[in-house]
Amino acid sequence: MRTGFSLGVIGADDATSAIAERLGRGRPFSGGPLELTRWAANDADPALASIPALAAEFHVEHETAWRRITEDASIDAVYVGGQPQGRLDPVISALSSGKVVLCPVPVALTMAELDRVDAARDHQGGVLLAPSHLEATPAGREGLQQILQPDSGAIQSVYYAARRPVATTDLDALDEFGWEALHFLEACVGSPLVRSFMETRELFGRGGRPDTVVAILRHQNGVVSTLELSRCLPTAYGRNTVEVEIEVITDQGVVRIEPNQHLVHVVPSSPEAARRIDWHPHPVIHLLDRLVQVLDGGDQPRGDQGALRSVVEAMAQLRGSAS
Amino acid sequence: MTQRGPMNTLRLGIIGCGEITVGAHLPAVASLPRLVQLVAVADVREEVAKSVGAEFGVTGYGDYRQVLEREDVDMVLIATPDALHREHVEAAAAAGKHVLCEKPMAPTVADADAMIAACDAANVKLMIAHSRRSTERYRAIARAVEDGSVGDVMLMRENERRPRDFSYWDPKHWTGDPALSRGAIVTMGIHEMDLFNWYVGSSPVRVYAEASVTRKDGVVADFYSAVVTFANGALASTEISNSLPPGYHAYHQVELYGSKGMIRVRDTDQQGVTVSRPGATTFPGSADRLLKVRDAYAVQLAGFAAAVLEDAPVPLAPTSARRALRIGLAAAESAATGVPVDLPNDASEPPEVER
Repeated sequence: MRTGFSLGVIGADDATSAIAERLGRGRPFSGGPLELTRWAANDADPALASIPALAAEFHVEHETAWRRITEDASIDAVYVGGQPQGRLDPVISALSSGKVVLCPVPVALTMAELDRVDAARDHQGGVLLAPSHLEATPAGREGLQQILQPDSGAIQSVYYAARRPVATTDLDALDEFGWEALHFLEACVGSPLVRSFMETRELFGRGGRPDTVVAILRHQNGVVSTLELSRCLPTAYGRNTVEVEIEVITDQGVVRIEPNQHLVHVVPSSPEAARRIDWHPHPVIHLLDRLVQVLDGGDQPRGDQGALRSVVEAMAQLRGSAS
Repeated sequence: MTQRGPMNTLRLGIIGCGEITVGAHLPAVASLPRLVQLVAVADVREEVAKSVGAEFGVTGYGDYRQVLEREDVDMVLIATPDALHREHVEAAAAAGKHVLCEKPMAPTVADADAMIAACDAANVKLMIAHSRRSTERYRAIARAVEDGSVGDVMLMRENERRPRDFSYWDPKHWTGDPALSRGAIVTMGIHEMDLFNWYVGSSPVRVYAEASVTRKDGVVADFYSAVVTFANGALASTEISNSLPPGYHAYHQVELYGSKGMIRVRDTDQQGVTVSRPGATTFPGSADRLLKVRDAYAVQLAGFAAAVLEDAPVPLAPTSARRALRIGLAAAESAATGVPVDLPNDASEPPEVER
């Protein structure tokens, strides 16, 4: 059995930085089974220019073209992050090279794209891990487990809010938060949408793209879900804050999930300088453990396929219901 | 100026002796002895009226008209199902009594208009008891909004959760009777609609809602999720659930996001001690910090009484309650039809606040 695996990362975001912090040469976990060896950005990534400096900081080799990672036989696994629109091609390329790919949702934005992902995986035997960040947080994992216990009762409603400080990205809010939200709904409600209504608009941002989504969804099994996704928090919250609040009400009780309770609140004399620091390791660190399990020959996550399809379908339906 | 009764107090008659009267209004009356004196009560359940009357040393009637016939009644509190409000308000106005009427204002906008017209014609005051306007939590939020602390309110939510053993929506209670009740979005959600109007300060233009009957023996929708769109682009949402385990405290989650900052009041953040036992979870000591309503009813009654005594505008204009009603009824319609309902601008409702 092999004891060391080589990991390449594509993308420049919080998650890739967290991986580098953990696995870059000389970092606390760099002697573990995974070695971070290469770093590139996808072509559309606005953070492309920052990669060389980041790679140098963590003593990781920098590639100007991501294909040099996905097609390199010495790389065992690839993490694909960054903007949702730029993930598809690196994922397909890596799967086509038979690699284990870790790409948090969304992997693909349409059914046609998902078909291409499936074809690449099926043809070359690559393995795709496509989890959500939320489910990789301790609160998200535990909360979902509680909800799915048989004695938790039948779900009646799900309230899901995700918030970031204003103007931290210029992504469409549905793209930024909606995939995670729908993935969560698929995991706990697991029922197609009968109908939905969505208000989406720019209320706080300065980027000209919708920064707020409020949507109400009715599922086939009668559950009603409410989504509030917005970049509405004051800037004092710190750029990396992603605040999630979930309340699942069943006929037996209520499960509240607030992953962001793992926070250090810093309130100095100047209120403008107040900040919150998330002290819990980035959820992607938990996902790396799953990646190692797969590389070690553990369970292959074939079951994700149906869920990914349901989420893509729900997203299309939601987009179609915009007022 | 209204004549004052003995000891310079306003003399009050109460029509409807249900839970809200016994649990909230009567304690408020008792807390204002120099301003308000209870002189009579009525309820269709005559034995209940007599029992409540006896407790407070006043006459209890089985017919509300007997309260209105009394010359020593200056004003009435109407706390009956909203389907009866129009009849009771019109009769009170015709008898020259000032009217404080429980929310929701009426089952239809036409009824609300008739109530306003009747009170205008009789030159008596009419105020709808939207108690959250008198609740310190919400008044504090309003002050922060009005002083510009958070800028323009662009996104707001208020979620309200209550336990399953809450008496509402029981088919034996009027709120659970489809002939008398329009469901949680009107009976309870009217509070949220009023708060949206108060804080956003723009005209509502559209509403969408989904509803469910979650109570096993229920008929009337006791769960709602609704989103209201305002003319200035602001969005406001509410989710009302009555499915918490028995014994669980009711709790509210209020959040306002403005162009300059945010205001957040979450009851769940204030639950320092949680004790779970078979059948119930409680938060001993925390309830004091949860939504306080008793004080609100005294503040509300005092505000209305002062307006009567000084012949001043009532603290909450009936047109504001009408606006909240329009949204609530539209939300109920949206939930029934599965499509959003547009709310045309209504010139009979002056702007809530100029911001």
